[in-house]
Amino acid sequence: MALPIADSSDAVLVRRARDGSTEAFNVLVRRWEQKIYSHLAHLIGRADDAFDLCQEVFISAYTHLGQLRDPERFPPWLFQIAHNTAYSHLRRIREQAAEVSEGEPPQPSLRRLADGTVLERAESKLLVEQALAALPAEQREAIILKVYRGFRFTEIAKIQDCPVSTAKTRVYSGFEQLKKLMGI
Amino acid sequence: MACPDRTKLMDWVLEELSPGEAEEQERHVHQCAACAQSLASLKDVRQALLKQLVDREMPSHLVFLPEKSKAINPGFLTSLWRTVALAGAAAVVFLGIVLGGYARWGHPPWAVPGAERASMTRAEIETIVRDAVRFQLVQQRQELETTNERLAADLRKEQERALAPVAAQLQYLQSAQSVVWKQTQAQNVLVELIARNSVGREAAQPGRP
Repeated sequence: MALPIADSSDAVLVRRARDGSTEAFNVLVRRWEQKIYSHLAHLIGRADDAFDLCQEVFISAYTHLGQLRDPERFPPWLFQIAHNTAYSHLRRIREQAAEVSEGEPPQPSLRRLADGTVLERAESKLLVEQALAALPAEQREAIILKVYRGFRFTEIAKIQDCPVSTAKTRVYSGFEQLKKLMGI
Repeated sequence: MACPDRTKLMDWVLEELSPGEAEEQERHVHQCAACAQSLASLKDVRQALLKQLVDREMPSHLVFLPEKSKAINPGFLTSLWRTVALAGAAAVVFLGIVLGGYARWGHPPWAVPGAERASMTRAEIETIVRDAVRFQLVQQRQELETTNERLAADLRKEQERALAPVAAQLQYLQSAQSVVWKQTQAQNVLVELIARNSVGREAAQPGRP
């Protein structure tokens, strides 16, 4: 017995969407929109823009679905589109702005308790976000893709269109930087 | 065993090592206080990120091309046409949401605070999208009809142009046939006259063999 379409794997949905099923593509949208929106919001920092860009990402994904050689690789491919869309957007903003304001570097700190665990404070979420925001955009993205989304280094390299060694360096350096910023 | 490169510890924390490599690191860490401490701090960073990094809530779901439009979509579309039509329809969907937002609040949906934006129900969004898609399809049909009429007119002109020499040739042949017919009739009249004259002469000279 065939699975209901909502329970189908990404690869199956991609194949069906390629055959013209907009229903299959809508399931993919529902499944991934939150993650892509969140990723974009982390990259560009503006929720309103992230929503518009999220639309762009899925429209682009739909129109270029035929170019995805391996349907099993849909998630990193989709994040690659999100990466390209976000960076195009950031470039446009940079071009519009006379100069980019880097802002004040945050000085967050998470205190460690005697038993070695990180002190949980109400503002710790803010501190983590501030620490992440202080990283260069590529490092921040690589960290999020690695830690939060669980992509392999090879996939991150593909998403960021860089060598695997660069992707690794971004994650390693970002980790060291976060460690300092969080005071761990 | 010498202390491993720090990146090895990170790879371990980031679950990039094979089970064998991870086991090797674990054995070393059990014997090395410095590496154990490094490992703990790296785990803390990862833990803090995992705990605090949460998906941000979307103001609303994305609205994509409804399944219905496929049924309306006629079969004449080639793949190129289909791509263009889908891109156009998607743009119209987006435009529909913008216009819907303007009609309702005087500004696009994303320009209002989350609470207000959430007040746009799914049914309203679907109505806007349905109308937008319908509008798009009507426009496409009109464009197609205009194109068909233009093509039919062009075809008629082309046929007339192509048939003109044939018609002229036919006319020429008809007139030539008419001339030949008249000449044949004249010859027949002449033959008849000659025959009558010949009969008259024989009647005037009886007895000749």
